Amino acid sequence: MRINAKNKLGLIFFPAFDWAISPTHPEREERLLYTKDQILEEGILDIEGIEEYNPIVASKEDVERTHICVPDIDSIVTMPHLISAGGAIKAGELVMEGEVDKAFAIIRPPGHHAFHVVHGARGFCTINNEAIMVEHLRQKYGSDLKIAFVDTDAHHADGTQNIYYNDPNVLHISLHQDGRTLYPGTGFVEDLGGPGAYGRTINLPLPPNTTDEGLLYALDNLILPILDDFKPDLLINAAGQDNHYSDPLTNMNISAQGYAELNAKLDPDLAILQGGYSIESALPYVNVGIILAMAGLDYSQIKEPDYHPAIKEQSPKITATIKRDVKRLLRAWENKDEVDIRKKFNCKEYYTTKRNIYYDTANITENQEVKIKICADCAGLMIIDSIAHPSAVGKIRAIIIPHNSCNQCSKLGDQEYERAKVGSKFKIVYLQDKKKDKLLSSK
Amino acid sequence: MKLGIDIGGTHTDGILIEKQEILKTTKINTNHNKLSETILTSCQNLIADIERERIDSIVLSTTLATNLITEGNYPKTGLILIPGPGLNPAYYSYSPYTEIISGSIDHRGREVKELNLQEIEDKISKLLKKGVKQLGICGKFSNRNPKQELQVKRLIEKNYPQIEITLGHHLSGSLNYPRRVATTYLNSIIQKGYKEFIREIKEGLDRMVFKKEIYILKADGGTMPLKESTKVPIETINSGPAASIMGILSLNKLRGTTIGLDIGGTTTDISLFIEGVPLFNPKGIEINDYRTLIRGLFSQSIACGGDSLVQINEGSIQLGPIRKGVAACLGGPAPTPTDALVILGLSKIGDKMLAKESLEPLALELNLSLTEFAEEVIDRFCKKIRLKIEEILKKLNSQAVYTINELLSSKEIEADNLVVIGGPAKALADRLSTELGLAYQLPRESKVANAIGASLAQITQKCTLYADTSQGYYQIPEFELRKQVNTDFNLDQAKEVVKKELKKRVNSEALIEIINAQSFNLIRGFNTVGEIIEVTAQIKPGLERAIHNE
Ligand SMILES: [Zn+2]
Ligand SMILES: [Zn+2]
Repeated sequence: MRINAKNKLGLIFFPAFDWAISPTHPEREERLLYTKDQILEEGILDIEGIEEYNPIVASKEDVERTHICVPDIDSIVTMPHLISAGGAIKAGELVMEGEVDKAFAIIRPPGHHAFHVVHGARGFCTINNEAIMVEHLRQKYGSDLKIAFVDTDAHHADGTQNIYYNDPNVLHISLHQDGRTLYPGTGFVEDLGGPGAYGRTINLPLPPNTTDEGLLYALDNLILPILDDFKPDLLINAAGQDNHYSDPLTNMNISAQGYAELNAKLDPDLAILQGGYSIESALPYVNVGIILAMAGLDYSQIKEPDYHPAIKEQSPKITATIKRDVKRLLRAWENKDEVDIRKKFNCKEYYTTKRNIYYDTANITENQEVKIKICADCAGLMIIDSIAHPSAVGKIRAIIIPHNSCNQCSKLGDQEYERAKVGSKFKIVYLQDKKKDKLLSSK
Repeated sequence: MKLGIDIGGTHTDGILIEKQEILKTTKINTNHNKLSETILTSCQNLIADIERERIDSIVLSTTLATNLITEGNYPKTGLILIPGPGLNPAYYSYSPYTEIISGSIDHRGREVKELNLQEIEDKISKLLKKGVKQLGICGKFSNRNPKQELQVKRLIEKNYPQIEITLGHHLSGSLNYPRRVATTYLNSIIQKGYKEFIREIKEGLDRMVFKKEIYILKADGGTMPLKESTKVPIETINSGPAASIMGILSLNKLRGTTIGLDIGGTTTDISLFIEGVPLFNPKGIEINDYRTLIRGLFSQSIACGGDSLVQINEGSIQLGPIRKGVAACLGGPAPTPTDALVILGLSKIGDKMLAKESLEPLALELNLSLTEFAEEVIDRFCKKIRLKIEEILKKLNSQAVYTINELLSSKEIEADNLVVIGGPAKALADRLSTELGLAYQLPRESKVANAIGASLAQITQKCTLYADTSQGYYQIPEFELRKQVNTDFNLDQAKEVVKKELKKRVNSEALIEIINAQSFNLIRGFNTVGEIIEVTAQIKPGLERAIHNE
């Protein structure tokens, strides 16, 4: 009479039925209502080995060791964000403590569009739940933990990529609808990471109308081989569900079966919900599919009511494009350690770059100038100058000392902080020392 | 005057109450082969010399439904399942006579795939050829839309009017398909045996010229009319623990959070009260390894009672889980905690010499004096119960919540006090109270607590209204009610409707309370196209009045 899960699965299901970004926003109370109904009706919570847990509330320290909130955390972050991030942390801790084999955090709002420096909400995300979780775990269990993200949301996971762009212990793989056709418009094959972690950022843009076939091809031929090589201690699936064929915001053709099969093969330690706004036709079925796959149970009979086999058909042109890019990325992965960084980044002591970041939710444009020290002994000190338009704050500077910082970079970081505080060039100066786990601010 | 009869595993207790006084009690052995006779004898003992007109009500609490399920000798019972896509139905095809039919309803109660009538006819005639005489019909999301279950029912009724049918959506308005299937199956299994039993009782009581309505105790500590219970006999499972909990309630004034302990021979049953209101089992009762949607009072058993076997296992004392018989001091075959109580002078029953003889070899094995050993046994007993209570509270305190408000405001449940009933209650109460650090109450009439609980229980009922105003309807599956509404229909109106419909069906003055009320705006595009409303109302278990117990 009992259904026994093969893997012990912790479920942090927190639909936040009393919170919305705004009444008609996709990120509203109703988003996980039908998912809740489906989970309850399928009797998922009675399965032996599937255990439900409440989220914790993430602390201010958890946020500040991950982000630099401008002007400060209290002006940016509210309780629903802290609970969503706390749901991710709870999931991570359950797995690290061995209380469960795997955990799935079905939480909202999502996090993967939130960058290292935060001026507001973008892509419905304010703070990066999964990065906050990872930073929490690295503080607790050691920064040498090797982490791998596989982000399967239809949108490029530009936020998570940004946070780990120069972090050699974190591999970030994003599969998403081609940025030329969808927000945020980034995430191309050439984007392979910063000088301190070159090759640890992998982007596979998928053409619009890619089906399960293309997704699973990329999994078998790119993602799994890379993961085999990288050998992460913790594998996280940022499980966005907006590449479903019924999603109103995107143009992809993935089915619940495809999601479930991806999860069964990928076999992640953690899955964290991202986007997905086909709240009636996709989310109930996709989430149940992921839960069953993670628990090691039969998911073969999960199907959307309007599913028909033609959804799986993929045009040969799409297949060819994916095959070509998979090949390129595999080569890049294999050669990543032979690359001459100074030559590649066309610099000597510092690599500098500029970028604009658009916050669609908050309607802000941010200009950033990033400077990364090329260091043979660590990932290198990073300095970000940032100004948002419109902004009440003005220009800020963030100095970031990496987890594996060498003494020289640490010392340099402290000096840069003291120097930048003097004068009026920056309204606020921040020093985020990942190694010492502290955030200082001139404010 | 109120009559309460509790048919337990070993004994059947009867009680006659007038106002707040106990007039008469009776205790006889339960004859499992002739339960109706046991009831009638108990009745006769109580009211032989009383005019029938003075009896206002009779409430029975019976283990029949429970026994029919736990004995496992099931009649051939078919299950027609309409699962649609989802979990593999092999996981919950509980009957060896299960047929899966096509058709499906989605989470908003929309028909996604129609039934195939020819397929159904074929599958039913196949089942009947195998000798199936009753059928349970259960569809996924049938509580949101019972259309397909009803269609199958009509088809069977037309062709095979002799077949007994149970419909899933009649049994509960809650979501959980595997549980709905189990509940449907078990109800189908016991229906025939239960009806037979009710017929016998009716006949017997008619001979005794009762005119008043007879009630039966349900798992939720409330009652329902005997006749109504034949449709949903599954509601009467676990009425034993429910009677005990209602007994505790009737014998005490409860304040704060109370732990109820009913110490029996083989097990101790643990219940919980908050400000004098018994807690419910959150998801539904579990019986014979089947998980159901039947709402029951919260009760957890630990295999540790007055007659549990005491033995030494790898140098330490082990209590239970088995019971070999009555305590050694009463001529039983093996040492028990009761014998330890006798040695310590906490209990005076039986022959102390027999208790001593049974415990002495064990004490020697551990190099302890007899008294020291007896102390150890009782310590172990109390500790076991404390650990179980802690586990229960931990679990209750970590129940999942789905709103930010609940997450931030939920208070931890902490025990404030203790009520102990059952055979060894008096002997153990002091020790338990010390171990748990809680003050205790020891009701005077605790030996017939179950019968008292049954006699004073009142009608209970729970139902859920689900409205989808964009589809233009609301429904209450428990009452087979579906009505059209327009998009103005709102949460407040929904609450009024539920209260009204519930009141209509239970001829009672009892207080109706709303235990869950939620509404969600349905946004499509940037427009609100309607609302999803869910309201659950109940008449909670309660007592007309407590017993004088000073
Ligand atoms: Zn997305
Ligand atoms: Zn360095």
